[in-house]
Amino acid sequence: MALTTASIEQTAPDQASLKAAAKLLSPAKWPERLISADDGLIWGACQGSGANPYRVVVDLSDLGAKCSCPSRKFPCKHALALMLLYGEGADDFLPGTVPDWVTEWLGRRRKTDTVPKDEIIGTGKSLADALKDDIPVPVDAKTQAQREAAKQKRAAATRQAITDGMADLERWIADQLRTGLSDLLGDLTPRCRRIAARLVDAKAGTLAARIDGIPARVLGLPQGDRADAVIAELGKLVILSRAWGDGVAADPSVRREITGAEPRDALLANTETVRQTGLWEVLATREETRRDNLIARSTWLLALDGGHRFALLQDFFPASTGRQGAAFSLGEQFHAEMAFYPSAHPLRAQIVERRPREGLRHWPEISPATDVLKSFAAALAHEPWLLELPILLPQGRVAEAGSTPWWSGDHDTALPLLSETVDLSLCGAEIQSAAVLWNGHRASLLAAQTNLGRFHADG
Amino acid sequence: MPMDDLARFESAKLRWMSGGDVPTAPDLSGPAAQLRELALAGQFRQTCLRPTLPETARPVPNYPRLALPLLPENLRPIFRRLLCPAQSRDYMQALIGFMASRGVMAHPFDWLPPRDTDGYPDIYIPLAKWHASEDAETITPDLTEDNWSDLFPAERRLAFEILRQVDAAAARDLMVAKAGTVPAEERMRLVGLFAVNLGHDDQGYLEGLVASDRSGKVKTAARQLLARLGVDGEDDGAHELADFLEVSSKGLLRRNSVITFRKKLNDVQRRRAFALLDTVSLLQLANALDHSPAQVIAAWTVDEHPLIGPFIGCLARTATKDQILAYWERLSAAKTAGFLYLGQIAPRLNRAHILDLSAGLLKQGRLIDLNALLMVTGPDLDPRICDLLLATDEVRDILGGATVASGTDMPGDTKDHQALTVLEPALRALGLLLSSTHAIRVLETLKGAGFHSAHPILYSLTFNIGLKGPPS
Repeated sequence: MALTTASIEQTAPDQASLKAAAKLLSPAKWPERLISADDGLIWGACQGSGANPYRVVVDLSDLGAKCSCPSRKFPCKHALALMLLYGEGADDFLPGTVPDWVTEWLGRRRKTDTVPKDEIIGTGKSLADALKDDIPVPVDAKTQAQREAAKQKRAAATRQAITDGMADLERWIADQLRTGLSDLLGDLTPRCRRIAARLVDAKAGTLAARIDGIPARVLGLPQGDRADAVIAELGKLVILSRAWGDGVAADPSVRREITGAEPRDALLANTETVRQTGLWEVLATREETRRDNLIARSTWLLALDGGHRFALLQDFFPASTGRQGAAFSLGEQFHAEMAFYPSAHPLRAQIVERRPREGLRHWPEISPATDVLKSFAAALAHEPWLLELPILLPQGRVAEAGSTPWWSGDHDTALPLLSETVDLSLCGAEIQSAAVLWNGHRASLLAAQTNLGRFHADG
Repeated sequence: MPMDDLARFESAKLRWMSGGDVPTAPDLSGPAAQLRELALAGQFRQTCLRPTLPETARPVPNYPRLALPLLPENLRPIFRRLLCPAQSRDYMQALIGFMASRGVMAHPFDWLPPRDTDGYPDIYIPLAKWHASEDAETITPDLTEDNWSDLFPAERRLAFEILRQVDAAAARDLMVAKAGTVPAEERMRLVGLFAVNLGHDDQGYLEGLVASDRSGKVKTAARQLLARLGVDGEDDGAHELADFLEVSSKGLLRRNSVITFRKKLNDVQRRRAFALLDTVSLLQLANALDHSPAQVIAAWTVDEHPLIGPFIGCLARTATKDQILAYWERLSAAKTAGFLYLGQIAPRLNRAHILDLSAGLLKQGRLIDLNALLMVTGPDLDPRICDLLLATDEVRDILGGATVASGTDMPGDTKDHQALTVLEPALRALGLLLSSTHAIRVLETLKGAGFHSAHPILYSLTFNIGLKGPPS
């Protein structure tokens, strides 16, 4: 099953793909490279620029490939890179059991004649050219200074636009109070849409997306909770607006809420980035299609080495690229170094490096007497604009009150649960610990550790 | 939390909900101050107000103790894949029955039994009761008048069947006392259980049902049981049916009688004749033809398939076991017996007997459909029958087509896909029928034909092998 340079060149859709694949050959970008020699399959995980890695599989019999990235090219650069790595050193691929997501792909795929035919060899794609380093074009000092000045001017203009947008937002909120929140609740979606559109113009795209999400978050709650929820939502917007000020001295976490997160390279280069190495478990993956036609994918991880720390891996990709494959299996555990975005309450993170782990370790112990909402209050004290926070619940059980399920602990603590996330089958198990997302009104179950094993709300 | 904070929050909320420039405290009158108050109120609501469990909240009871170990973790993903796409209830019953025969139960996170567990192993009754929010006892108690209403219907039927086995008269007395308390559908099922240890002592009660029960279904069930006892009931159209039949002679030396439909029946008459075969009893038919039941069985056609099935149905409902087997012997001798017919009489036989008859059919090469076989015999066949099964032409043809189905011969052609659609249901059934040793043999054949061992079409076989049963 040796791959030849010629076969990979011919499989590549174009020279640019080969060039892009050549940049992914560093082993550090591949925390997982596995092979099932019996099945003629290689697969792995490639850490791209996003928080969630891409999963790639190649069928060596015909070079058919599948990747969870949104690329429209086939095969994509990740699949080509995996082929190249295999061609370079098959011994670096560890033997593994074919995972579910590969099996699922095998069941769906139709075999096609993707093995290059002799007659089409020689179409101008060259791996040797792709591997050549690009020589940077020298830039003189004057041009460099001009570029820097232009960049600063653009940044100042953006700050000003956002500051104006924030003033507009505060006026809008004051108007809602004047006309009554009952009216707002009756007309929530179009009103939020309008102010969100104005904030997009004001270059506050991330904040606009947050406001676009208000109707789903508020109207998804029972009628009795909606007034409180809309007050909390608008109050947090006011706080964010005040925290922005003129934008010059805004806290990085405030800037992240308004304009978006810094890129991975900037995060890893930042000396204030908090890093934590340890064992992590994938609790849940959520995908949400936003009104700006981006899909937000959130993966929640729990540190198993203690401390009850969670990590959130968040990526955005265009909805037009269709459904992407999952980046992780639920319940998967791995060793990783995590880089947290600087914040008073670090949560969002990127994986710096990870290694697979066999076996399953239990979640950290949590005392039944733990005040489960204390961490939420503490987080809001530092970052009052937070919408939701993962919390770990101690031993408890599900109770039913009308149509609302509740998590009920042993020490008079109880949280109402979002019924959509609680499956009947969980209710009969003894819940030893549960991870939920608490938004101040309802808890959304992510996963639970029970006497019958792990339960994952998403499957 | 100070009460005045809460009162202040509620007051502000009321003001914001209705809107307007409502005067507030002097330091909170401007729009900027209102926004500050809003921000504080939101935080107050989320950090100071704690949810409290309503007094009406009722804890969901824990699962009952499970009778068997749960399916091993590594096989749960395959089990979930076998569950979808939506499978028929028959297949689900076979899958769950297969697991039980290998000593495991489905994980409740993956599958919970329906409220009506008919067709599923009895070990799932406590889970079904839990599912229906009933108190779940793990041991089915002895059925008495006192606990009759406390038991879950499926559990009550199980207890009733056990009682019929150990003390048929006590079971009958219980029905006399309690039958009126259950709906007709349930009553009909319970009456059906009189087939266990059916005897002439039951005749009076069954005749009472025929005479006075409100439900037609119950009357029919009772009448069929009476027929098995040789009690001649109402005509039910037997004479009308006899008019559609003719008894002719066949053979040169030994002139045997043969009963078939009259040759000149039109379509309406034929449909009517078939409908009557569904209602009459063997005894009524024999009387109408002026024959004994044994003579009818000896004369009924064994060559004309359209007439065999309805007649077997009539026997299964109303004949004794010996009468049924007598006709089966004739069918076997004529090589017209098959698994569809065996499926009709299977409810009257125990599993060992069904397996014996199945082995006989397989020796004759009488396999048509693996799924029909699965429904008749149930899962997890013994090695002797597995050997016979794998030697049949049908199974050899199916496995022979695997090379095309694997797509290795004809890439890009739809032919491989068509072959796959034939292979897939056959392998799904084989995975539940075969012993683990035989499943390994088939899996190796398929891998040799070009299938990845991880291919979804092999799930059923992989599942079987993963749940190794006793050595075979």
